[in-house]
Amino acid sequence: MPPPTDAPAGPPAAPAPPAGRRPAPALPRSARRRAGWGRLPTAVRRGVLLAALIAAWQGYVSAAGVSPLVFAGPADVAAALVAGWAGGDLVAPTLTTLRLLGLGMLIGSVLALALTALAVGTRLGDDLLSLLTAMINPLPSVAVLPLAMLWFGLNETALVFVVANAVLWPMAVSLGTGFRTVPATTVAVGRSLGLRGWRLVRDIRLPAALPHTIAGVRTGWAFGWRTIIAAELVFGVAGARGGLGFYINDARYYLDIPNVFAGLVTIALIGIALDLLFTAVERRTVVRWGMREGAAT
Amino acid sequence: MADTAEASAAAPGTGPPLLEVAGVAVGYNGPDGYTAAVADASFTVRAGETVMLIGPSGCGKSTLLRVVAGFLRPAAGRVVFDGRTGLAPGPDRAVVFQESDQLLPWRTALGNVAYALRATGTPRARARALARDHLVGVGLAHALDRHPHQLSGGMKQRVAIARALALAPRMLLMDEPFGALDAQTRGRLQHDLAALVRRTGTTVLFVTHSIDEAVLLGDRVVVLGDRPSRVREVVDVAGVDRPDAPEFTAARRRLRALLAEEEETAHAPAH
Amino acid sequence: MTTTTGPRRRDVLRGGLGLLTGAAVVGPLAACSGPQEGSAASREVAIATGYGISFAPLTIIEARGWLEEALPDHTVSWQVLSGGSASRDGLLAGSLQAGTGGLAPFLLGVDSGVPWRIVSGLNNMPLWMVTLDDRIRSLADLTADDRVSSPQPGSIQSMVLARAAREEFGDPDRFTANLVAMPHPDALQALLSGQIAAAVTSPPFQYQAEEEGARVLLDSYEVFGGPHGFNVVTALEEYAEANPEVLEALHAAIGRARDLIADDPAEAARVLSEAEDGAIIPERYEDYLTREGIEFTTTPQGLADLGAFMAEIGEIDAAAAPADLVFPTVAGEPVS
Repeated sequence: MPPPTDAPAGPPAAPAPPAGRRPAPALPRSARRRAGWGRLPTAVRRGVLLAALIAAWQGYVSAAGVSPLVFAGPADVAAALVAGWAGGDLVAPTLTTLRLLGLGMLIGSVLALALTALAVGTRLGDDLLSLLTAMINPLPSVAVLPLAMLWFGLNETALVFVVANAVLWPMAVSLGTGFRTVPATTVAVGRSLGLRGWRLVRDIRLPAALPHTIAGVRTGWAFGWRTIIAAELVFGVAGARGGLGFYINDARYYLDIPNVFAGLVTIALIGIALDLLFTAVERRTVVRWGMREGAAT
Repeated sequence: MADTAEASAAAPGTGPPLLEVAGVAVGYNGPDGYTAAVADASFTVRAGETVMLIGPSGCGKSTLLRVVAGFLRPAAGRVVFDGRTGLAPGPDRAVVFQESDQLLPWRTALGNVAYALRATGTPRARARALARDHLVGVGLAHALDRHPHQLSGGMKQRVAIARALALAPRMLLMDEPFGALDAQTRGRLQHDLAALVRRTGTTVLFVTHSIDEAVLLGDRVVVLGDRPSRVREVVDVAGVDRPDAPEFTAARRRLRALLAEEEETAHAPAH
Repeated sequence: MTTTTGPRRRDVLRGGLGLLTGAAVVGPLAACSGPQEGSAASREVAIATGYGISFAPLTIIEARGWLEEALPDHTVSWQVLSGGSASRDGLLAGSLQAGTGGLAPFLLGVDSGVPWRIVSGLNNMPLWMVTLDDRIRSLADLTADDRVSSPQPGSIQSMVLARAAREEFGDPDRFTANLVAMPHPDALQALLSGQIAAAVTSPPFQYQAEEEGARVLLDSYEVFGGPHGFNVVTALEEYAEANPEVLEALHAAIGRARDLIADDPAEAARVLSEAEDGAIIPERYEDYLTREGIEFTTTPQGLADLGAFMAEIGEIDAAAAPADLVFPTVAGEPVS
């Protein structure tokens, strides 16, 4: 039974409600309006907003006569996207970028695991990891690219190196936190079952650290993605071996603005797709096990 | 959960001691050096009996339990379990903790118990069957496929008990397992645990800070003094399990007096 | 570090939305500050320039103040930019009134619809492809793993390589996958440290490479069958229509610089060296200025030939007639 509302200001001495049933309080007008929009499902609300923005974008381009050398409208960008994906111009760079990212993430993950194992196992390792992370993590890995090119030459090794570097430190931090915050009681249970060494790590510590691990991989991916695109922009390999960053730069040299936008949209879409993938993974594991705050049961 | 008749089996506490704690001292290394929690504790537990450990806060009763479990080494003294010393943690002394972290969140209730069995050598199919049996035995037949975060506090402790018992331990160690539960749930679990222990004849070493729980569940109550603690007295409460009986009241009074004395000496009296 | 699932999905959609919103908002704003600003009302004259002998006339003009002399009512500023496309973008955005760039990017811009023309040529220069690698004696020795630098995609250096490839192997794109875009100083360093197998570059870098023992694989004058323009000064048509006197003054000043270099190279070298704080000594500069094939001129040359080649290999759709590519400033000169 909702609490009775206060008598509205205005007409003085509002009559007392009749004994028995109270009248239902009326919603104020603003709440009614809000309830209308708010009642639509999330996807619909976002979709409508997105469509409205795209329409505004197209409207501006068509009406204001913006120079196509500077700015492209959604119709042209969509056309460029379709052409790029169907005809393959966008496919090869995308695959190149994803391949380099994947390689860098793999190396970074392995190193993160190794460093974390050392950090969790020994005091010296812990100090070393903390120091290195504090110094290197704040540095955008792209800034290391010129050095990497000197060390490894003008080839993909330099690119993979900076990606691995971008991924390594946030992952090591997350993994370390994950391992360190395994509840002592859970570990004690493992030990009381007679688990030791690797079995204890595999069956107890690793699964317990999963929320932090996934968060670490997710953060690592985010840094890695941004780094590879930026590195490709700086690196400038021509021809078939270039990635999405080079594709955008190349399109810019040739004043192909719709393709610049198409490249950007592709980058964003991949980012969104992978984010959704991570969310799905989390939902199937960490959320299902109630290992996150506010999880649905 | 069926309540079996009280007239069951051999009287507890007969035969040679299963656990012998002799002159054990244990403490912690802190920033100010070594702090003794237990100065000198000696008691025994015989097969089949339920021994309660009680004492003022900080007296080291949980610490003692951990020594028996094998998580800690004593600084002095001897712990002999089943004729062996130098104990490591193991399923022969299965532990039930107070915290809900003792259940693995990524496994279901059934999974938790089955995993414990598999980890200690039981083949997969048999482990699942045994796990199901024990969970049914604690009244969780309807919650087998739920994850711990979907269980209430009382249900989680039932799973922990089922897991510990499924391991067929020589001794069941319990560290204030019902301390975080509301009074009603606690009462139900105490009752069900007592029935289970009677039915299976399990030996139990139980840490508690509740006098009522000690008298209700225990055969003997080991009362520890203030830190650094010693065993002050062992009160016999075998067979005393009806709260309205005069023996219950007498036992309760005795224990309360013992603990009150500790409190008095702990906080130096004004006069 | 944990968050709930719901807001995460919304964040993801928000991210996508953010990108499009950003584009939809920033783009028009950027486009707003377009060429309209560089119209008649403005007295700003911002000119793109750079370091090295390719920009020698502009450096001399700046040092001697000739443009400020000729345009007392205008504010002249010189901006050192990273390359031709920065210059082009500056013109389009209205932050430059006169740009500097290579011949090939100019033609590419025309083909893409950039409304610009040439105010004046700057120089004709032979462009070399050089290598320090003993293994590479000719183009045929280049393998798929060899890196070759050029200043940017679609630059005249890339065209030189493409043309030579077509001559020798019938395939202009044979070496496209080998190209790495690098500014000339970086390219020289990479060549010397062995990171790239060869560099298609320009004076003075190619001379410096030669001094270090590099061999010349290609000479653009040979590949193109004669001298050709290298850098030109450009401006947008709209600006030119409204400010013909500015472009005339610029063209005249470039002519003065050309004359100074031809008549008194020692003096010109001194000015250039001083402008760079003596990074290259005047004698050196004098040597570079007087090398064979280097000619400072206000007449753009090689437009028709290069345009035809670029159209043939599909780099541009169609070659325009040189007369349509220049402003009246060079009227009467033998534009080719």
